Amino acid sequence: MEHLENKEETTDMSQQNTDNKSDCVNKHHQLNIKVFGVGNAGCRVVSRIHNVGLNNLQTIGINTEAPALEKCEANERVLIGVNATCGMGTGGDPERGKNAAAESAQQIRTLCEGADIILIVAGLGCGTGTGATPVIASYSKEAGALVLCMVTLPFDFEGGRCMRQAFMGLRYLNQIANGVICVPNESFSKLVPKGVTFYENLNLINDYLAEGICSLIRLLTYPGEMNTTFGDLCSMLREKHSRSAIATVSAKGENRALQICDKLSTHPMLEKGNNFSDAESVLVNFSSDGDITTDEVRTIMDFIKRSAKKAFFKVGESVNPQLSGQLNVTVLTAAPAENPYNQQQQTQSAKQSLQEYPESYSFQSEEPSSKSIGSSIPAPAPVVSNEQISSIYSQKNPANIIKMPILKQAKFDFEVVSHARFEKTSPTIHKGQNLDVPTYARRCIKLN
Amino acid sequence: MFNRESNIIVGLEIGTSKVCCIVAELDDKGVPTIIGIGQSRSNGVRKSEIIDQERAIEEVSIAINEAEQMSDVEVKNVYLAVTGSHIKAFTCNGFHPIHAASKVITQADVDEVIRNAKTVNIPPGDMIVHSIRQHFIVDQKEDVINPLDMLGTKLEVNILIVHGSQSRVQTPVRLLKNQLQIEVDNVVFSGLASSLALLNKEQKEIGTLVIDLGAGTTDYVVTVDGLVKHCGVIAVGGDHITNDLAQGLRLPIGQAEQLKIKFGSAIPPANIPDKFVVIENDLGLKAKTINLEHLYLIMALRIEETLELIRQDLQETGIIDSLRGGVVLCGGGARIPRILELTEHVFQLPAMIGNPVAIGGISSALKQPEFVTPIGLIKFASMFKRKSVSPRYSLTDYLKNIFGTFGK
Repeated sequence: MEHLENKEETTDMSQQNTDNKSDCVNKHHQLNIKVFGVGNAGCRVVSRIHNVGLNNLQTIGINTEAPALEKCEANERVLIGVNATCGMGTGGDPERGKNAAAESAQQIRTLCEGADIILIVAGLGCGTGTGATPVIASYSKEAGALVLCMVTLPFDFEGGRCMRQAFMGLRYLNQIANGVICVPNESFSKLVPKGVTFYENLNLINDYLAEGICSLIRLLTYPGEMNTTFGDLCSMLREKHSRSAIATVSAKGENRALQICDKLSTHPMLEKGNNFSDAESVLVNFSSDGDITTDEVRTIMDFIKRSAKKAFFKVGESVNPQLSGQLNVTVLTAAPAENPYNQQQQTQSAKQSLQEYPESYSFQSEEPSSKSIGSSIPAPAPVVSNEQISSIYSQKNPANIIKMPILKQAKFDFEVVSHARFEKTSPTIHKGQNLDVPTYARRCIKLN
Repeated sequence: MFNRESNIIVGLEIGTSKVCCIVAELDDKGVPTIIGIGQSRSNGVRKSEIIDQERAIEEVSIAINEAEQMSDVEVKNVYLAVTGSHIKAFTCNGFHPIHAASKVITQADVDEVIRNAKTVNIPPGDMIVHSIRQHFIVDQKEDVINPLDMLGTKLEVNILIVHGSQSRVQTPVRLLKNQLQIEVDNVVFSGLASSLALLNKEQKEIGTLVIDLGAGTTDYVVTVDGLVKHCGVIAVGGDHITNDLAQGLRLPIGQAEQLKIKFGSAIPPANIPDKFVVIENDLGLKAKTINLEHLYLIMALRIEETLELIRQDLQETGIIDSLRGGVVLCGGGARIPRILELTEHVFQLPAMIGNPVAIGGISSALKQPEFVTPIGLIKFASMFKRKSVSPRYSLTDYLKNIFGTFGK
């Protein structure tokens, strides 16, 4: 990764800024950014960000699991919920993660002090990442910082419970944080070549998240004529995120604009350019040493606009003298995700307001009754007297009415079957089948 | 006996892959000899129906001109082969009580029962292409070939009605008349023509299925006891195989057609020595690599399905049990390697590729499965002419002779 070498790249700038610290205009440039890594996944990513060594950046690892926290390399490491978990982790229970964070509220609040922007990295799905992250985010907000979360959704194979918890956590985060960048782990499957070990795969995800955060921080800290501000980031991410992708590509030389278009169109995280077509908003940031031409911007923007027809655009530009002829383009896309748990939650989320956090929300309220699912022996029917039955039926409280989840029609990617050869003829329908469609297609025989 | 004009019979087939015109001359005994042939590649036809009238007319005129030049006659009247998904067949029954005190069945009774049988209810907008008489039934005595002078109280007859959409049958007829000033003497269902050209007397007797695997449609005709018992059209043909390949392998139609001809097989080979084939583009550069396994799979599925649809239809009508003569294949699809194996497997009957029989003047060039239908048209026309000029024959005899001869 190219930014590993850029350890000292911002020295000059920060020097300049410290000189004028009293100047209130320049104070805005001297952003105090803190990165919190919550849970195991978050801690690993934070270690990587710490190793990149960006200036003006404080890295903090937060975990409930003492052994994992020891491995974390960060400016500060905080073990939360010592009483609740004894430093042994949450066992995948977000409720315990939440309690752990609430228990260590004072510690977290101290950490948040003085920060302008707090970036929180976490892997959603398990206890600490899902449960503690919304609490930490709310404390950060209370401390007066702007909060941006970068979270991952679990792999499909991790199971429905994990995914459900992740989506619940994501929902709470969406209400608290100024912006959430959510990257499903599954979207990396295209990035990983076959035969790569699982360990390498996880490393790759961590690297990617770290790289994404670093590029975001650079984007916020480097000055430019058309600066990308934190407000821009948040406005494009607010209320529509769940499926984001961030990609940074760079090129040098005469045809660097075209090279960048090419790299973007084949970038695996952008699903080879397909990601643009779903995107609701796209942020494009150009960073160069100041020699970028209007033609280059136009070429690249034309390319992206062609792919992302319906998206809301935000274009930024920043100057980094270290780049010397290199052009870096960072693209952040946000698309509405198909959240299978969204429908049933909408009514509830409307009720809850920000003030109620963190104490009001619960991860148990919508948990499926895992006991009855887990045991193969059905529980005996409860003994209910007639009076009780009548009282149950007479209750008009809408809360007692079992809400059926509103089923959403699934989307299938059908192979487009063209009838070009027979389009001017009447279709050959035989017993309800259109014989003009190839037999293999009708019988769903897959050719790979 | 005949002047030259009336001696000439012309069969025209406007098919999906080619337009073919055959000119034949009848000798004194009414035996046809082929004297001219013309053909052209067809582009205006899909599934055996004209979709592009201008191109179709152009191609027909090329074929007719070629045949005219070869035979040195002017084509004025033709016998036209028709097929398409709209062609359907069903059997209907006619009934006539014998009123005469003697209970002797006369010619008038036979005419009457046939007329009764032909008053059928076909879908609106349809026309009868053929009505083929089956055997008579006299007082529950079945399989009566000629009821004349027999005694009985009740005469019945079954008729196989082949009908098709009037507008779709008339489209080529009208085009030929308006654009090329060519009269159509008669339209003939092309499956019927094919079976007429292919089957010998014995095959007709013991029960044989003829399948014409054309480019646009697959026609099939069952002949049992010397009579056409059942026929049908499935609007799936070689074009569909090409289209399937083009879609499945993502190739242009032209390349898919070439691949089909070069590698095609009705049954996938057990082991494929060289699984991947490189397709070259116009410049001879490597354009695409395709997997032959997929090609074989796509083809085999389509062909097997088509044959299976025919088998199902014959099973439903129950006629499949009377097929002792096996299956005879013709049309371009009969050239697909291992198609006979597949046919034998699907129908559990012996299969063979048909050769046009009993027409003089057929060069070896015409002894190909693709020319069976136009040759069958000539055969149909020769029988029609031979009988129709003789005043002895009535309508009954005409029917009997057209389709009876074909049986006896």
